[in-house]
Amino acid sequence: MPVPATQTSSPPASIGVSFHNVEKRFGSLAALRSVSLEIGAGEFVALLGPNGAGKTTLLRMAALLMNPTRGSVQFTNGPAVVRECVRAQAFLVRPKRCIGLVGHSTLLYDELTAVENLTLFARLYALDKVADTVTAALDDCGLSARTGSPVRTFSRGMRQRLAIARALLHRPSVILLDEPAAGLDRHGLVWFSARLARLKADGCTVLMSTHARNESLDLATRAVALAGGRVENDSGPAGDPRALLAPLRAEA
Amino acid sequence: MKARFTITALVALLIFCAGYAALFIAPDEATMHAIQRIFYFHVACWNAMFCAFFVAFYASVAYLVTGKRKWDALGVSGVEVGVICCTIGLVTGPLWARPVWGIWWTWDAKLTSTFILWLLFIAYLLLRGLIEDPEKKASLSAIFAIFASLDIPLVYLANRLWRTQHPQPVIAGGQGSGLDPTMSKVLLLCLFAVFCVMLLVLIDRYRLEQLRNECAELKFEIESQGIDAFDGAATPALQKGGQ
Amino acid sequence: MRRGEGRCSQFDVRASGGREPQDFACPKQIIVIANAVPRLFIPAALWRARDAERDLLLTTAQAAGIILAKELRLEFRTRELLTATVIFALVVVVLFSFAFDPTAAESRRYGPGLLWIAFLFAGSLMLNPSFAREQNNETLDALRMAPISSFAILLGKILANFIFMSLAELVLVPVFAVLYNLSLAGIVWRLILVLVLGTWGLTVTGTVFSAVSAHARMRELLLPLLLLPLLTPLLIAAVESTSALFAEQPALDRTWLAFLAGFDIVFLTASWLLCDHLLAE
Repeated sequence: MPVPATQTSSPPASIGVSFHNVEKRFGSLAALRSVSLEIGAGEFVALLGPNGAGKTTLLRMAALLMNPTRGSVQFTNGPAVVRECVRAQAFLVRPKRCIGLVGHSTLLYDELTAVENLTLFARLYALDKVADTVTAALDDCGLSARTGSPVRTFSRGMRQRLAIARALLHRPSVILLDEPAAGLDRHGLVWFSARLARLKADGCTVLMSTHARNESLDLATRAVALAGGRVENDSGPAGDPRALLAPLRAEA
Repeated sequence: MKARFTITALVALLIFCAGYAALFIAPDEATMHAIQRIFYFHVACWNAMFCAFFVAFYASVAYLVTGKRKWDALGVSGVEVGVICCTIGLVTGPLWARPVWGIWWTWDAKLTSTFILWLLFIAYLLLRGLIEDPEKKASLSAIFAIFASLDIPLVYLANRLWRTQHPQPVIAGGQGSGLDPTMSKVLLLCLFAVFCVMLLVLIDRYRLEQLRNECAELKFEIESQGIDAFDGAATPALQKGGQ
Repeated sequence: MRRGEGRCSQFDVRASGGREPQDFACPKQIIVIANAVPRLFIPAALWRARDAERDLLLTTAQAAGIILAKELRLEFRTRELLTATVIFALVVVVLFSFAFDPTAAESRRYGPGLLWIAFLFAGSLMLNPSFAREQNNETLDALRMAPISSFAILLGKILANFIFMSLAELVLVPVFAVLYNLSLAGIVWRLILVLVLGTWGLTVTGTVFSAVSAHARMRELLLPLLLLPLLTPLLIAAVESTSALFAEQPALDRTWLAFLAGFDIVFLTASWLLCDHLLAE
């Protein structure tokens, strides 16, 4: 699949995410218990852990969709703290345009077509040359043949590819991926890994949660294992993630 | 504990005195006789209700601004106590109206408005019951309480405008002009006594809510420590951590 | 550096404010309307202060226009909501005639009340999916992540619901006039003024509470329970001003019109102030 020329020539970004004693409760359930993580700019972090370990909550909090019950989430640009995420400021705008999220759901409108979905978000992020950007993104994820049909008619893998294309449309520098490989076939996985490799080369910070092995994990520079809402194991910014990644089984 | 007991006893004494004054000291009303004595508690209830709803409004705004749980607790206490006062008022009203006006209920401006007020805050309590997540429950119900409070003056204004354009023959208006001096003294005593009762119940309800929050907090701590004991192993207890 | 070019590496990439978006997704007229309507109600200085504080790429009105275009596109693809609303209101109107069998004089007296009851009931049903629909693929999260103000999301939906409700009324009012033998001749413009003011108040509060009830259990039942008591002042004012138009000597009741406008302003301002909390998780 061809790589749009504009995407390779982008300047490197340098935004990190740090969590300070973050705690999140849903009623009497604790999804996260005093999690502290310092993720530097340009790191590729694999978030591991069983279901219910708090991976999704951590990602949603980094996406500013959720406020921590205690503690804080900060975005750092070098040594400077860009903006602190505190309660009653749920609508933080400035870091928003630098964040891209692939969630559990597709975050797409089923009744709209692929083009309409991407156009909507391109416009909301105030991108220039909306039509060109959207066409390039659709070419890139290999959906240019189906641009006119509603997302409802897409297969699971196609939806996931479109969801990834949507999240990366505004060229974010912090990329949050929640089980992004779910539903992708072999071909899709290869495309996805190549896409992630390009993003990593561009200097993006990536947080990817997963519980199964796939090619994209080879890119990880750090692995963090969560269990019961705590950081159980962390290979650290300079450490080797392979020991933590080894026990993961390949996706069936 | 002792201070609270003393205060409760004092308020009980006060409301007893108020009841005595309303029943035996206040002079007999010329046309309505004994039934008019319901007036002292009927009016006092409305007064207490407005105070309680004002507390609820203030607490809701404060919750949204500060995000502190105690304001949410105060808000729900205010609404609950206000609804009780409103219910008492709505029950004593028809009891008084039946012998005097000859009807239980009329679609008069004040009655209608108050009925809508009651419905609004019942809806508030219903809303709280139907939202699971405590944080969401607190913020969304605070939003509803603010909207409802803004609606109250509009409801009264609309009803007043509406009824002046369609004059109803049945109502001659409650007491109207010139209360007897003894009557107004008794009325003041009753207003104060019922207000104190309302305040006492409100504070107790607030304490109860705070204790519930504290209890949930302690339960949570115990659960956390339980998890610490198993830390590191993927036991079923860990799976409950929920996303 | 132009916007959209290169990855966002600095946080001070500012918009060259007030730029008109250029292609199909949002017709220019919609932007103009979206710009004008809220500014009728909220002082411009307040408006600007709130936007500037957030360093937005789009103004609230531009973003609201995009959301509005999306809502219209979604709805006109299926037209389910609109059809259901019209049919429901018609059922209410027809049932009423069975229940009361009104004479000509009676229908003049009760007609406006019936009409607004039908609108209110239909509205409280129609507004429910406004936010509930966004939960299918958690698309509301996608909107909340976009660098737009939270009020833009709400305003876009309010405007869309206002258009849907107005379209339904456009069908219902003539049918109603025919069924109940009322003449619209000579009062059309005045009636439209009353309908617009009443419908705006209905859609503002309705959209806000559809966001509230979307998080609750039994939301279909809850929305009317929250909404209808709140809308009683609006109902009284709308019915009274409509009655004045259907009277022997049609007249515009200025007191009630002012009341309607006041209702609209109070609740639009309240929703503007509270929308951050309304849409925050």
